[in-house]
Amino acid sequence: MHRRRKGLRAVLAAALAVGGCVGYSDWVGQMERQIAQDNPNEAIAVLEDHAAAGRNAVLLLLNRAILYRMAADFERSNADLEAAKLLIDRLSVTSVTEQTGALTINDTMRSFVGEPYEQVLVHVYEALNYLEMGQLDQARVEVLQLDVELNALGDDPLAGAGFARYLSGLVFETLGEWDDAMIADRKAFEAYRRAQTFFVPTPLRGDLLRLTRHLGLHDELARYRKEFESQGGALQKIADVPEDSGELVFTLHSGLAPVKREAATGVTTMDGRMVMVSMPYYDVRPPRVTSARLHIGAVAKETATVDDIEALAVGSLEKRKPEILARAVARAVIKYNASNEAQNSSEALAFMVNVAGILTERADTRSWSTLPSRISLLRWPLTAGHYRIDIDLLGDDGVVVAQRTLDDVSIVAGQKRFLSLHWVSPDDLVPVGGRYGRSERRH
Amino acid sequence: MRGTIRISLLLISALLVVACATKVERVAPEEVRDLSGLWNDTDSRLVSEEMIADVLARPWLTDFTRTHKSRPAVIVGEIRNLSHEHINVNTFVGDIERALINSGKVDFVASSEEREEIREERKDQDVHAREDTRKAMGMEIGADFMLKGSINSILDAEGKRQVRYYQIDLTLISLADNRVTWIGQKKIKKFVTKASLRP
Repeated sequence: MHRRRKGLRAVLAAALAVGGCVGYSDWVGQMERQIAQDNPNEAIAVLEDHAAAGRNAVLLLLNRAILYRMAADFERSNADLEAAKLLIDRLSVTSVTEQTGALTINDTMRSFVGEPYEQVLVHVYEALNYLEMGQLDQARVEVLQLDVELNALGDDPLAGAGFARYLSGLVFETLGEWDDAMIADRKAFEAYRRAQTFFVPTPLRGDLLRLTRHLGLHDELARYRKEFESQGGALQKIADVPEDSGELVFTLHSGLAPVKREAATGVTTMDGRMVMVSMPYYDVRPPRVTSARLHIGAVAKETATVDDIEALAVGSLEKRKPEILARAVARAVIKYNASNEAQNSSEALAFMVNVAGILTERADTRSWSTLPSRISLLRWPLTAGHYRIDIDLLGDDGVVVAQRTLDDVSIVAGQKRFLSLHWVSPDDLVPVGGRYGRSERRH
Repeated sequence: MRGTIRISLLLISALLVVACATKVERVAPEEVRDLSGLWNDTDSRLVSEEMIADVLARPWLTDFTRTHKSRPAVIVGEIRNLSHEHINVNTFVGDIERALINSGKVDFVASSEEREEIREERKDQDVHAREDTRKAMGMEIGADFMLKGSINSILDAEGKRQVRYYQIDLTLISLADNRVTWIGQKKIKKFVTKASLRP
């Protein structure tokens, strides 16, 4: 009897250890609160204290990379993104043991490699970091890798190809490679249209008109002009950037990506055993700030949304759901059969196997949650000089939520200056409720 | 029976410990070890070997020495990485520099960043060094040639198979008249098949 109790305790302990998510929500909440208080270095400390590597090594690197970026430590951010990229490449190969674990224990037994949109964003953020450090050739390397990645993904509307291609165009344009910039912008235009999440962004429309004119592609220019006019919305001026001018390219990264949670459903079978099926769902948390209005002297310009990461995350999970559900059901059957077989030995063992099956059934709620919910962008040609830029951070309703100032931004003739701002407020941490299921157990 | 199980468990644990331990093995720098198919030390070495052999055998060197009765001074300009990978070009550029200097046929001029540092040191000497050891300003050697170049790549991938093609072009340009006096080229092609399964 004593030995049996000891065995039961061991099974329960093992089950909890495999679940591996005791206290997870606490430290993630703590990390996010530090982010919202604009303390990225404190957030890194929380992350490093609590996040386990192993199967979550990629996740740790990706989250830390964004936190380093928030702390303007672009070099460390890129070191983590580069390490994550190599690891994703290695871990994307099917693992026999991990697949077996996913079929018998739960989906978290597989190494985290991210969804396609997350893998694309690895390159996007690495390129943005290089651009902010002024390392154009290195940003170009990322853009070439993006091209390979996006070509492999085909026309997946959930890959986030729109902004990735648009950023590629910007990099090529910065290097004076006009043909490649045109090709990238064309692909960005097609990708935004395919994704149908929002209008083709205003800056891209302006760039398509400017580039087609610059390259003398008159038919294409007329086609874009006609299409944009028919869709309505503001058309940017298509004047080329004057020779003695530089350009400010500002990106706003607002809010936090939706948080994945778990909805567990328990069913009692005819013979009194319990079977559990756990599915992930997203709690969305729309960003309080959706755009920024930049003021230089008496002139003001507003950013336009170029990437909706919340939509990509939610859409990707929806697409994956049939596969996740199939695996969860198969797992439930395997666990039920194991319990049945154990009954041949003893009732107590069958009970233990059943309990272990229930406790180990967890949904995979891992996602790159330090990503912003939305990215918006502004291009602003400016004559060479030093500028003070006042920034109004605007809510969906156009109301000024907060203000920031960038002192002494230098613009050099013939060069683009890339600047970014990550904005997360305490309001952004509060989900508006589950969009795809009930919240029963937070992971 | 119980004893056998215990021994088996012990053996398995021992095997796991051995499998997890970090193992380091010294290998010769010229030994080829390809792990990921990405640009590595072997590629860098192949480029420097090819370029060194080529640049020392071409007529630009003897032509210059004959005309000027002195060794040419070369400066390393920008070597652009236009490939799909973050490649450190300093490794093979360093190899080429070393081989050319050690050949005794070419002088190298410090790069613009290095020059700034040295000029600062000279300024410092003006104030702090003994007069007979002070180095004067304006005595630098102007370079005769600039070494420039680029690394390009073409990547063709399908599923788990990849063809990675690299082309490294180096040019030596005469600073006096912009003449291209030497072009070195090295091509590397790799066929990479990724694993289908991992443990």
